[in-house]
Amino acid sequence: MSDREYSFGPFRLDPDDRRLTREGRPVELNARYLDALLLMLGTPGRLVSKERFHEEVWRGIPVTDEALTQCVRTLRRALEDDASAPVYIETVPRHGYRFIAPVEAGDTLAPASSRPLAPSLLDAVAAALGGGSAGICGGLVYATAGMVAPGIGAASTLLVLVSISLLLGFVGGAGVGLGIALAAHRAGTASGWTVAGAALGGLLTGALGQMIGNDVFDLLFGHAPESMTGAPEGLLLGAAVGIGVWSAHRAAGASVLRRLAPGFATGGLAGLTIALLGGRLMAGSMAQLVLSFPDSRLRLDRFGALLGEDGFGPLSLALATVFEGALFAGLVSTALVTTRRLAATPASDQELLTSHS
Amino acid sequence: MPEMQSMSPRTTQTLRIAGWSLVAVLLLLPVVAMQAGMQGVDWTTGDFLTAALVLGISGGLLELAARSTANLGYRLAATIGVGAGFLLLWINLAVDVVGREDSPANADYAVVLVAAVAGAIVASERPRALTRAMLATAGAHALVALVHARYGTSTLLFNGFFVALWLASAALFARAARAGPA
Repeated sequence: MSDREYSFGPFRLDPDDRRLTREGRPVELNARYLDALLLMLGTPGRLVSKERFHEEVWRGIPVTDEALTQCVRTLRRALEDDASAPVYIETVPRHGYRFIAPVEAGDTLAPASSRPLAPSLLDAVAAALGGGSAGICGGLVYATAGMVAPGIGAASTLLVLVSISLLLGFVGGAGVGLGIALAAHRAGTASGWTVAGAALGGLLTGALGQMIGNDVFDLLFGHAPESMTGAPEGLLLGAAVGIGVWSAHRAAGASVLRRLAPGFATGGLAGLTIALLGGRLMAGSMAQLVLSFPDSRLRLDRFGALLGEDGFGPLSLALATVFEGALFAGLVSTALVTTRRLAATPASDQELLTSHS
Repeated sequence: MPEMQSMSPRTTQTLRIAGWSLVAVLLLLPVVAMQAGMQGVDWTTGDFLTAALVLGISGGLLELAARSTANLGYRLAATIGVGAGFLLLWINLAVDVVGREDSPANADYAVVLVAAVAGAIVASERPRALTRAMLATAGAHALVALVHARYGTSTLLFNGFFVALWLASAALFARAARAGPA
């Protein structure tokens, strides 16, 4: 494929062969730096923003701007370019870089972004573990706060509460994670489709969960609680996770708070929206359960007493729903972001690293 | 990409502050609840001391892990391991997992915790040994789950999740070991 080739100065770069040569002799560059060079060569003379580098070269993996600076420094060394008087790569302060030398291209080429992405089931597993952890923590907080009436069998009631909470968090996390993995497969890990994929995953999981839940209650007890967590709640929570993950990718290189706090914040916001629209998460569904099964050992009215309400009133419900939304979306997006960052360092990079040092 | 593999000092500091603040909030919540006269929350001084001790030890272990390396996989592995142990202990202290409070089944979880702690002490910050310690803990927990299932207390869902957490911790320690000394 020698006709699909960039040439500039004494250099030639064949994207298919992934090899940079100078007057026929190969110039050593690792895969990522080669991608960065290809990205700039794709639009010679035009600014390539830092965001595009982060998205297309690091494919949304959160790295600091220092990584990009190091990358360009290495490229300049390979091309024997001078940062203060550049022939090839010009710095556009605070914005990005521009390839300024004339480039002859043999053919129109897709830059690095067309390479297959490797998001995977790992997204779903991480999200499920994050959701399950949120479920256990939430269940335990409720239990410790005295949501289960003491008495014989109280401990196993509590185990049931924690287990249900764990299961709901786990399944919800898995559904949202699968949606995010599919979005990443289609459009890249950092794209806005993350939000759509997560919302869709949440919607389907919520709908399916409610359907199965109602059937189980109907089968076992002859009637089901009137309204439980379902599709709308799933949609909102999924979207919150999606926004959390997406904004973490956007904030690559920023402080850990700027990367991870949005997941918790949007989750809380989703919880508030759910509460205002009359939807229900865990505590809300439990309250419905108590209405349907007055003999149950769940004692939600205690929350109400704390807030000066008679019984489990709207304020208690709103507060509990905000807490659950923040916990779920926060932990799921944190699990996703961290797993992706860990998974993003392939063995080949490490080899290059050791061979360089 | 070395910066991908390790946690920055800034992040470490932020998480350290966030973690200890969370400990303070968790200890203050029951105080607030009791001041507000919330029924069902009735902590004795002993309860507070126990909670402070458990939270303090968990935080201390994470500080130790952070001191030994900046490797992200290692730190995450330690966080998952300590977190799982903490949750298990919390469940057992606040309420007992299986049936009545005096049920001997609850003591089985002590075996899991002892396995985790002893393994971690023997491993002493070496990721390869910690991998084995976490695998052994996962095995112990799986065994407990089987024994409980055999005697009719079905806690498979709950136990299964914990086995998954121990395994995740082991996998991350193994990864940190492959990445070499940080």
